[in-house]
Amino acid sequence: MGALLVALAFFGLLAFGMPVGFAIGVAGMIGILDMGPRFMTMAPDRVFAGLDLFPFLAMPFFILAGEIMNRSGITQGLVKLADALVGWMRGGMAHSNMVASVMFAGITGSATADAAAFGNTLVPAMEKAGYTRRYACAVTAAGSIIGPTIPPSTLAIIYGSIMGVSIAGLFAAGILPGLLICAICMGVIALTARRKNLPKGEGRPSLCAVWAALREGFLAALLPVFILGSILGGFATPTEAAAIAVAYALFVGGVIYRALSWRDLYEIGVRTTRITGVIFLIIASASILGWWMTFNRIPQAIAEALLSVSDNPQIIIALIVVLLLLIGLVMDINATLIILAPVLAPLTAQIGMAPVHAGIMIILALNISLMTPPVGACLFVLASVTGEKVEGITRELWPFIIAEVAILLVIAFWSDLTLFIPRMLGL
Amino acid sequence: MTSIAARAKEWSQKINWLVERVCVALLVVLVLDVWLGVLVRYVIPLPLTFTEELARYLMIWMALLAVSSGIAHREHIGVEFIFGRLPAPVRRWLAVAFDVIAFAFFLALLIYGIGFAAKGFSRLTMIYAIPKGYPFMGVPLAAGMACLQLALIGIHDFFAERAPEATGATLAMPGGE
Repeated sequence: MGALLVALAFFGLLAFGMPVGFAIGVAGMIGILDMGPRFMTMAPDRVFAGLDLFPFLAMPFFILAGEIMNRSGITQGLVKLADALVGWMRGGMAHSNMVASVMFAGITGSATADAAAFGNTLVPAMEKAGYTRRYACAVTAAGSIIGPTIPPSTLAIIYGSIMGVSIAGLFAAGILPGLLICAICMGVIALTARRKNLPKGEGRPSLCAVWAALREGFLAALLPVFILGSILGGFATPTEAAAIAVAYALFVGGVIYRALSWRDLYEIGVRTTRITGVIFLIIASASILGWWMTFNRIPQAIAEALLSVSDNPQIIIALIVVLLLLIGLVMDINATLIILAPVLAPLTAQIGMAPVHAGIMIILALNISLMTPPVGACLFVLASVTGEKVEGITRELWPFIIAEVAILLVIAFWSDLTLFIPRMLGL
Repeated sequence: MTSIAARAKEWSQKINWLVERVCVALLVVLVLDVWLGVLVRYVIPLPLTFTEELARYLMIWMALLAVSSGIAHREHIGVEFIFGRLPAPVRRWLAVAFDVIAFAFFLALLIYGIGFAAKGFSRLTMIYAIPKGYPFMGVPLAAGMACLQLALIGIHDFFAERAPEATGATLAMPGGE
């Protein structure tokens, strides 16, 4: 009875539009109440314990660094750099959108932030250059999931923290899938460029122009190199690297570019705290629901149900991927990660997957669900920023979704590919 | 009726004005604290052990307090696919119902959170040995602020001339996804 009530509250409230953080908390609270009022003290306890993890500190710091970089206009240099590198091809602006996504990924690590930033800037620019708005939105949506795949990635921080997996290892393992997604999406653009008659760029830029763009984007491009270098080289923890990234962004934006006023800094602070509040409420609420699920042995039930289908590791992996893609369609991915990781991680261990490999597979599957219709968050962001209908974007998005799912399957079934970089770095 | 809605909104923003400043102040202290931690680990070898613990508690206080700020600005993300397609009167009732349900959730967190924090005063934190009740107090305090904002936003939703278009943000949410 309790489980049914929780499921009803959970899916009902979510479907009708209650904010995710509230809906999950309410469902968890109903479950605890059903167990008996004496268990209610567990709710505040889980809220606190669910957040009391040192690695989580990296999240507000990376958000803060990204906000400072964006507000001071440093990131604009990256867009110009991407354009100088690949903008000359047919469909050049679509290609440079992808490359810019990779560069932004090393700074913000957020799909919806990239979608919003590009939706405001690159989509109108692409329209002006002769692309349809829906195609520009589809390319942006497809590229936006590179953000949370390439480090720093919020999902990797959450997964690593709650499952005790090396965050540095997850960061290292996220690089290649992110680059592969960029490559395959550029492949899709190139293959369809002639048929769709995509506009051509202005021809190959001179070495001087590339050098000028490189100089302009250099300070922004240095940050991700710096962050990754310090974490993957083992010099700093992700939290320390994130704190140093904030100092770097402040120095470049405030001292070198002189683009930050006190007012700007205050507004950046307000935005950072509010975004952190939204994410942390989801984490806290998911901790309440997660405790109820664990107490009622629901993770074991789900795991047993999956194992009862087959004990073939390949089939189990396929089932996990399908499950994540389906759940990600309707659920917030942070919450899905917190609730499902404790279910899926032991399962993947049982079939012999390395923890880092399993983590990246789970993270990538959830990321792809961000841009899958009908309710992928990136689609909604783009639709509201650009005024294009979700249905319209979806029509142009399918080839990209199929290509990205193909990459996901390669990552899921070929562990050596994922573990190549972490092994090389000794992580 | 609309004046009641306007008044509720006004109070919500006044309270939020203060909360925002507290949150930003906590963020500033948090940044300085973690920088200090980095500094003593790599540059000046001082025996400062409190930085890590303080950082965790500052982060929790800041993030939890900011929850109410997110309510005031309707920035908590939701799946608005169905909600946005409903007729205006249904949207209004649904939004108010969500406000009431969420209010009950935070009220329970407030009530049980007070007991949780009170118990915490008999336990000490691991590194700095201060009573855990202090950091724990962030939970009931933030829940209380969330209740206050939900009540004001609920009143606004009920009396406002136009039914709400959305229950939360569908816009950019960096960091999260």
